[in-house]
Amino acid sequence: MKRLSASSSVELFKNRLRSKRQLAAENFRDNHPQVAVWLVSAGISIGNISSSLAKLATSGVIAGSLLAFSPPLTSADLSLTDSAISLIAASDLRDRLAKSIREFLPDKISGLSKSQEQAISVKVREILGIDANFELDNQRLNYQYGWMGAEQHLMRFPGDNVADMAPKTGAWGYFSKSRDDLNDDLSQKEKYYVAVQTLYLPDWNKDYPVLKEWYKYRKVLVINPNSGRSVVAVIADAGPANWTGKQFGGSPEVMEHLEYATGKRKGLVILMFVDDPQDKIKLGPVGKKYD
Amino acid sequence: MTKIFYWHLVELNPVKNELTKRGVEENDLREILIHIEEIIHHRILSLIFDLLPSDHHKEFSLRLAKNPSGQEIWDFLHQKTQKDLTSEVKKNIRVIISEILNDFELD
Repeated sequence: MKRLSASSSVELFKNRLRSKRQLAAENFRDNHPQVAVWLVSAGISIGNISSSLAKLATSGVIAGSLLAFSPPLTSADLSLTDSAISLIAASDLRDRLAKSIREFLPDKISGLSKSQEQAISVKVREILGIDANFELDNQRLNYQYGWMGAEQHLMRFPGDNVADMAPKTGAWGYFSKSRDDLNDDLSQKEKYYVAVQTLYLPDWNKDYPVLKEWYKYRKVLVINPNSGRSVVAVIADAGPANWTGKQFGGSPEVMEHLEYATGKRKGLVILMFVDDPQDKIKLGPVGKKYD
Repeated sequence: MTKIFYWHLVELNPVKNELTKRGVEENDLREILIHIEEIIHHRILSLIFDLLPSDHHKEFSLRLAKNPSGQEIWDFLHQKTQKDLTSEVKKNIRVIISEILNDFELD
């Protein structure tokens, strides 16, 4: 066996180890992409597991936030705390998000590859602290990235009358039976809603009763990939039709925050399902309160 | 320093001895050991996630974050995999270290 006394030999060996380490981390991400998201969420950085564990042990942050972790943990447990996010200016969050995800987007409107989707999910989790995915409970939309056009307000209850309101209800009917039944939660849902093309889903007609319930008020994250502005909204209408050339619709408030409310009143967005079974993530602009 | 729950199965002394024998300096030795440690972590965690049914992946991730050195993780893993995971991990660590030792031979 030769001696590694020559520094070039040591460097060669170190380079080989670096490549091996990188490959091991990449294989881990490729084989277990969702796990990678969870681990990153929990503060364990793929690629630097040892130092992450050391930091966790020192800070105790994760241990503290996960003390009550039975029953099985949800995305809400994994979210960054408000105080953590508040340390970062909203404009910085937006810039970081836009820069991080732009490279993974295709030049044309099309479906994203699995690796693009995973990479974006990881970035969203790291930067916004939101567990958002393009597929949830085996459900996925035909488009994950596309044009969002401006929609009108939806009728919240019979007799509702506000400016810029559609003449019909959304695909899921009124939000409440009457004005008196309308609460803050339902008002927020109408305020921050999107329309998605459920009507073109392959199993929509076959599994209509189940899918209709699954998609009703399903929480989504909408991102303007150019600016990094993002909004948490719910699905409350179906459309737009394919012939419009648009893949999504956004309420006046959603479009305004994404900065698509004027001019052509449409723009490119990424739309992901938010994994929030305990309904802890509020609807509305992400990071706006820190502006 | 925080050690992960399977670290007692890792025997790095043969690697350290081999490197020292070859005159590798302290600084280089430290860097090399960090790389080796990371390689082991990624490969072993990958193995565990391969063997653990996916329904339990999230819970395991969070148990790991909560208390990485906790020996109760073994109980959880043995229960959910119904396998002798300790032996599997031990076997794989041996393979990884042997691969790394073989890398010395290439120089």
